[in-house]
Amino acid sequence: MTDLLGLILMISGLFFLLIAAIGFVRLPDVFCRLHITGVVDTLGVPLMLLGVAVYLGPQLTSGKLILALIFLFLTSPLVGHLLASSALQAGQMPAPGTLGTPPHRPPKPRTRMKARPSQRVLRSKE
Amino acid sequence: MILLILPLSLLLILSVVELGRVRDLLAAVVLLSVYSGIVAVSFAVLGAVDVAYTEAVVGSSISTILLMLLLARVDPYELARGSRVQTGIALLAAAGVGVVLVYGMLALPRFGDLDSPPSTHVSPYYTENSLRDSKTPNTVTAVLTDYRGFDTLIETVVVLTAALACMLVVGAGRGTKRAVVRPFASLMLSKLLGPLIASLQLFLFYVIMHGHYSPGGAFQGGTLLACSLILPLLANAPGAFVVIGPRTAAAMAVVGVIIFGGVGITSMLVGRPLLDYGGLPFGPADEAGRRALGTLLIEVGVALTVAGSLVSIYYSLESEMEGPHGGSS
Repeated sequence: MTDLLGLILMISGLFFLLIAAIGFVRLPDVFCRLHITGVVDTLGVPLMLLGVAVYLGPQLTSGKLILALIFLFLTSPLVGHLLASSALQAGQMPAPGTLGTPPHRPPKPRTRMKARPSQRVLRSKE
Repeated sequence: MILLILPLSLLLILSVVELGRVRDLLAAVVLLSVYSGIVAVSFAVLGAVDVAYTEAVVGSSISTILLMLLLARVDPYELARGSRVQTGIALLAAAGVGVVLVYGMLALPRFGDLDSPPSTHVSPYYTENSLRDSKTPNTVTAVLTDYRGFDTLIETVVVLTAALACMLVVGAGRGTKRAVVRPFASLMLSKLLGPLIASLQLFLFYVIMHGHYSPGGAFQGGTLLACSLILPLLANAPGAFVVIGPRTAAAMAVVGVIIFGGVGITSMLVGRPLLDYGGLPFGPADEAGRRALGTLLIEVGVALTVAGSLVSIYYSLESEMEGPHGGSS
């Protein structure tokens, strides 16, 4: 039973690792790539570690794996944050298609006739 | 075994090919770190956990930090490629060395071959006698600190020499009393750095102390100690942590060698061979206890030397950074 559960956890971890690898190759800029490699640290590797721990059952090695998991959860957000802020400081800009709508500008209405009330308010301020 | 080693070897070859291809030296350093990581995993798969440990902490962590420091100083892009003739000669030379290495490898016994000379003479001897001879449960530590203690002593001196050479060539560095530049005021970093360094130091003490019984020991622990001393400097938060200056680091490296050599000479003074821990005039009454104490002492010495040397090299490279480009002190 624990064998099966461990295997399922490991395979789902592998699935997220694969997704992250595909995303890393296909996404356009640093920030998107950081976003997808975050999946490695939050889902891929933790699920693998948890899977191995469940597979091994209650013993010392499983405890060490859980400890590794805790440290991963501590360091991964820190590293992601530092990488993103360093990239921004080093002059990396988000790729054009990924920018989304800047918060200071109202989103373009789909049809020009039907503007939502919130946009009207913003326009009246201009 | 082959199922694990084959993909690892392929990854190793891929990383080396990519290493020859990239022009960005920062990418090359990252690839070197990846290479070391793969080598470490290969060692672990082949059963050499101690070596894997060293490769992981030295090859893929601290040497990456030092190389990146160096890159912060120089132009991180390789200049124009050499001419076709140069590239051809280089490729030919590399291929020639590769052929020689593969040819030499053919003469090696198969991995785990029971009839090979190491498996018939040396390994069985250590496996059967190391516990009786050195009273050390971890055979690798027994070989490292007892059977080949003299070798390890000279290795430690080599590490110290490397740090001294670095200091003499580049300069010893000015230490932490410089103007602190804060490139990013990160709340996360300031909150998390303390707990992380604390747990790292707890772990490294375990690694040094427990090297007598389990994989790990002074070289690995010393490198981790250097990491825990360098991390606050890299994060530009030297005020909040215990940070040693360049002079203390150099002194630490020298004291380590003195401890190691001192233990060796002490056993000589009481009429036993060099580094025969069983003959130490102090410590527990039983031989096993004295040997454990002697091993621990030289492990501490080696760890101090390794950590001091690495921190010294860090300061040397950093002092270069404070030249025309860096901030004023």
